[in-house]
Amino acid sequence: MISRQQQKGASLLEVLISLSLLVSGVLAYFQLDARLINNNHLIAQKTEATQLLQQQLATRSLTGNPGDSGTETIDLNSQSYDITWSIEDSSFGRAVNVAIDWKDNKGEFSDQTHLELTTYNSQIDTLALSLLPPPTPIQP
Amino acid sequence: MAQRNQQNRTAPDQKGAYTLATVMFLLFILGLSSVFATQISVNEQRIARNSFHLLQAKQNAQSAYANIQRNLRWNDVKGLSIGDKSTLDLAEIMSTSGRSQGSASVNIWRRSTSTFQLEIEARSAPNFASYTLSQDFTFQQLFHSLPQQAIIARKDIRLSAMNNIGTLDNNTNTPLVWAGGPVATDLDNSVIRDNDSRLHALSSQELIQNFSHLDIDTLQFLTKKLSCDRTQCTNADIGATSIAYIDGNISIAQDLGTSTSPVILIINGQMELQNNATIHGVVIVMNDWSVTSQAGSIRGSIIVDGNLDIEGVVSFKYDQELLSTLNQNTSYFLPVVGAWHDF
Repeated sequence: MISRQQQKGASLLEVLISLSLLVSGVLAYFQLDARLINNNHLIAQKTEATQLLQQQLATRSLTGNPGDSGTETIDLNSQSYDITWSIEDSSFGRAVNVAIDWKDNKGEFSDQTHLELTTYNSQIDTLALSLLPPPTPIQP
Repeated sequence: MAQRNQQNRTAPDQKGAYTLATVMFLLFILGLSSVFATQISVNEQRIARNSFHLLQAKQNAQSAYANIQRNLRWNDVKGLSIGDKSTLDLAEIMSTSGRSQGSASVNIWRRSTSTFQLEIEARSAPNFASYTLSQDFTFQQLFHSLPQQAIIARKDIRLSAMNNIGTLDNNTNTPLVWAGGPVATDLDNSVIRDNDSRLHALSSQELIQNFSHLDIDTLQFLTKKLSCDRTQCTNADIGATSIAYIDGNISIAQDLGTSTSPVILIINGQMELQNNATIHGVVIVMNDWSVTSQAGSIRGSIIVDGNLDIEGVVSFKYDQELLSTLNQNTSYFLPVVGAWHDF
């Protein structure tokens, strides 16, 4: 037979266990939430950086010359992206390299905040040339 | 029995159990929402990563295409029979600065006598995304009009008596020397066509395009650029493309090209032809060419965009068959309009 005193204690113990479980659960949830928010920021930044990378590769491939290189900073949605690019001639074609770095929410650069890609462009518009009729050659 | 136990429970005991059950339920809901949120985040991460890898695969395909467009020559595929396939390995161009950014495999099918199909399958690194493109192509000969003379100079020509000029089969029906200005030589006048004002009036670009489909800038892209400033240039330097652009001076001390694999040399500087070295093919000198005491030979043709002044002993042999071989071998990649597919 459980006494009245014992019954009150059991209730308090269950409430205490419940509260501690709830508090730790809520804390873990908030911690996870904070990490997810950070992750989502990084994902958004990576998506923007990929688009910038694509844009830069196209622009530099079309307008750059061998030996050209440079850096620039582009601000997009209150985030700064540092862009480094260079163009070199090689036997494979014109190599265009673009790298993008940005700071994460802690204000640090890392592998997670770096994208880099190299593309080659032949720089030959043979199609346009082939459509031109050949000039009438002069001969002696 | 269970019914009796329930009846024995007091009110405070039941309140505690309800609280615990409610908390467990709340925790379960929190857990579920965490799982969903994490799942969404992971999926978004994958989407972001995939869009980068797709871009990477696309650029790999683009790079492979650029390499093919720039370097593929008739020589590389002439051995293919109709319906046959050839596979090229492009691993090297996918590795930049020692860091691999994926892979690309290239298949070339011969569809008919003159048309081919190119298929490039490019992948990202790691192997998450792929991008495939297909393009029909044919080959365009470099010269629409082959040089018909052993020596062509846009301005004046001065040749010493010791020079040996002729055709390989001694056929002298057409002039062997063609100049925009006067030609000072002891040669028989019948083999010379000088003071041609039409030739003299041509610009550098027009002079090249009088023979070639391509302008000088595009021609440079198709060539292997060499820096042979007073150093030796060998056939190995020129490589399989058979066309070399030398921006500077060049000293040639050994044979360049052969009768079956002739070469095109485009020289934006001075050329020194030494030690009885023979060049098989076409030499295009983009400025004046002055030779003092050298003894080499050119089998094919030389085009000088300026004055030609030769005091040394240089032999010129015009060889039409060799030039035809050269024109075939150096044919370049020409895409067929409307035959591009990507997936």
